[in-house]
Amino acid sequence: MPFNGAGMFVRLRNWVEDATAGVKIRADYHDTEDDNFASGISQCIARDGQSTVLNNIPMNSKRIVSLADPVDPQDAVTKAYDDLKLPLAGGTITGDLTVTGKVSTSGYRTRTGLSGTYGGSYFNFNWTGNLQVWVDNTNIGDLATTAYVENRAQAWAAQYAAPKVNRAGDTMGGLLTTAAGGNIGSGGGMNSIMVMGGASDWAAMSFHSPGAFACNFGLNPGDGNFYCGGWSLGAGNAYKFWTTRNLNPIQDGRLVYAGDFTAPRTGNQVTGGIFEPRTGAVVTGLWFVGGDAGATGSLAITCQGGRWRFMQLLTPGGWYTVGYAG
Amino acid sequence: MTQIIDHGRWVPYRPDQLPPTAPPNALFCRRESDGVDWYDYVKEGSNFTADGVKFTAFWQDAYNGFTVGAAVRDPTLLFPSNMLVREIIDYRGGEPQIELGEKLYEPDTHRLRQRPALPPLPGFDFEGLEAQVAVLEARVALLEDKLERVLR
Repeated sequence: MPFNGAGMFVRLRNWVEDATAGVKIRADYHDTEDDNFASGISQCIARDGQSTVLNNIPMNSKRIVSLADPVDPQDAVTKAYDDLKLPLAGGTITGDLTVTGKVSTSGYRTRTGLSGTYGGSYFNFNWTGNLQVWVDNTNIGDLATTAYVENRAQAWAAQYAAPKVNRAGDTMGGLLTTAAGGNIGSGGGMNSIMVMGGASDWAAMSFHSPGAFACNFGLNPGDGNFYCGGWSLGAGNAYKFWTTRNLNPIQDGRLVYAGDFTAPRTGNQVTGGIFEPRTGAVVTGLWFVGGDAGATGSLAITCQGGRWRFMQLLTPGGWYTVGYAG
Repeated sequence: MTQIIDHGRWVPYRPDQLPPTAPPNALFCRRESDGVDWYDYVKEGSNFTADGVKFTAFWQDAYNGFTVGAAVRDPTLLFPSNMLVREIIDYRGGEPQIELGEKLYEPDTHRLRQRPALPPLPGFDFEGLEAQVAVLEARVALLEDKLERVLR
């Protein structure tokens, strides 16, 4: 063994001692020593990779430097290669983690929101009975299936829809009322209930007192007037409603002052007549002068003037002064 | 000093198309200066003051001047066809029709004054008539006398 087991190379000959002992130079001694050298060198690791390490190499806390990244399964790894791997003891992944297999864990750490720092709580599932979601020691509740959610939603909707009027048609069980000042629907420019007929057809509503009386009330598309008719009023009968649209009712009348008119004179003679001195005015009074003719018993009277008034009629448009008809 | 607003002179006319609420025999007049319709002028609402006295004045030959016709606070009571319309906005009196009616109105000065009394119409000549009757009666008596003598 050229090495002493502790890494020290051991020579077989000592040429000084041989010289002192009078041993001459001998070829066999040199061969023995050279063979020992050769045997020792063959125990070393050849840097061109010819030799195979036969035992573990104690590195004595020293590094193997400038090592290439591993390629084969039994290759040693470099620090650079190792830094890309998640330590089994745990670490932080800065990118997305995609697992094509199963993940077994005692819990998952979640984020408190879509952004911001990670929260400190862990969520997990309890598979005993219903599938429950837990965060730490808090039971968030059972997970719901699609069927369960749909059933619950339908039941909830039905609960609130049941007392509502169905747009497709329904029967009212009570009165339909609004708050003071409120209206139903919005028809045209006013808040109102709109009754819409077909194109160029009547728009009507019906009033029905069962067993007593019933009739329709509607808008005639032909003349734009409202009518009531049908049912108790007779099929085919329609009675028009008269409004200020088709009627201009006279609501009041009065005579207003026009003036007092003095008969025309020529000199000291009354001349001509008093014929409607104001257009459309009517006379409501006359005054005269005259007196007893004396012994003859005659009476001489002269009309000196009159009082005239206008006739006015009140319509939905206000007071109008009127004159002769035609 | 009495403050009078001049609302113009109004003349009769017939609109091409009657307002839908007007009676068929409604009379119309419009302001001579701008043609505005009287009813529209009243309904506009801001042409007259609320408390002012509005009056009409019409021409009378007998007085050779304008006489106040109607004098009211409500302008709908007026119809000023062929008349002037004025408004006294600070009227302090009582019943305007009684106090202003028949007064003469001078448009140039806005003066309102009492209408002068017209000269009395001449009385009937009763004495002359009686004299003529007496003459006729005397003639009748003579004729009766002649007739009686002829018949004898």
